[in-house]
Amino acid sequence: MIKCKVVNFLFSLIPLKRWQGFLLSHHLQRCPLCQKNMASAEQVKSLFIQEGDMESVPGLWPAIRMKLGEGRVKKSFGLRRLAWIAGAAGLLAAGAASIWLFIYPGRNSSSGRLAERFQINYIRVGSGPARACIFKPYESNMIFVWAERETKEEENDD
Amino acid sequence: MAGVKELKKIKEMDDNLLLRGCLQGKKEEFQQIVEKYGGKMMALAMNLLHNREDAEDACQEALIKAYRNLESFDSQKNFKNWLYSIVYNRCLDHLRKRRRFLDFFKRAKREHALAAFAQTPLPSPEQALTTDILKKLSPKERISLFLWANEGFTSEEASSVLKCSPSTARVYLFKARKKIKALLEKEND
Repeated sequence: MIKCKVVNFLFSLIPLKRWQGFLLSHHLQRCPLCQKNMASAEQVKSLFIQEGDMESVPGLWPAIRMKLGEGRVKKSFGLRRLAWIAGAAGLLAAGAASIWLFIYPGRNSSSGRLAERFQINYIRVGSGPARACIFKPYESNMIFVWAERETKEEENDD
Repeated sequence: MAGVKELKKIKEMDDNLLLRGCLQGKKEEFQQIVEKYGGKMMALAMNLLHNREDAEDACQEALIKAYRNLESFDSQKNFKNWLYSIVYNRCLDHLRKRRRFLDFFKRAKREHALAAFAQTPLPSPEQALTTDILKKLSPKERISLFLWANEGFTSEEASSVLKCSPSTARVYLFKARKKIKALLEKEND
């Protein structure tokens, strides 16, 4: 009796599972007096809800089957959604590119890059070379190009 | 005793056959597993959660998880124990969710922030189906007690469900039995 009290005291004193397990296997599970302080399987069983106490659970399998099916549908739906997202992103990119080209049409072309500096390398009038005269009025976007055929006299003057 | 062991072996063999079918993608085999263990799992979930809706949710989630992870199941181990450990974990998740909700609810009530909301009834814990005695036990104590009393589990088997050492499972069971005894005596007085 005293031993039981000491073991129970030590059990509650040191709450280490290993220690408590040791005490259980060495005394508490074997001692008939200590066993009297524990509820029996029959007493415990009466407290629990048993499998037979419940109404049947017919809804369990249909719900699971539906959810398992849903998973597969969700997967294919996910792929389809991914395709839609990719398509939409492609369309958006194409739209943005066309807007960019529309607003800045010449930015990416080589002629566009030269547009700020107007230059004529060579002019021919008829079959002969010509003299070019380029005039840009102040604060205007217009550029006048005057081409004049070089005469023989002028050639001689040079 | 030998007969019981043989029967157990036949049952386990059946499980393995059913599992093989499931792994081949046969849903009918899984339906048989659900029908075989669904009730037991529901009883376990009900005793932990004390709410039918939550228990059904936990069982459904557990069975779906089991189906999707069948490949990871070690056929050398007991299939029922594996299912029990999954449903037990789902129940713990539900209990955690419930506790979080209750904490939030209590705080909201205290601060009078959700005065209107406070009038709505709480979902599960107040709708207890079984006696209050079991509520005095922790989930670990409750499940070790359930497995021992209802299923005749040894501490080794219970430890595989609880994911702890057999000695720890033994401690949970001992504490639970002691508490129950004390509570029953108190109730009788």
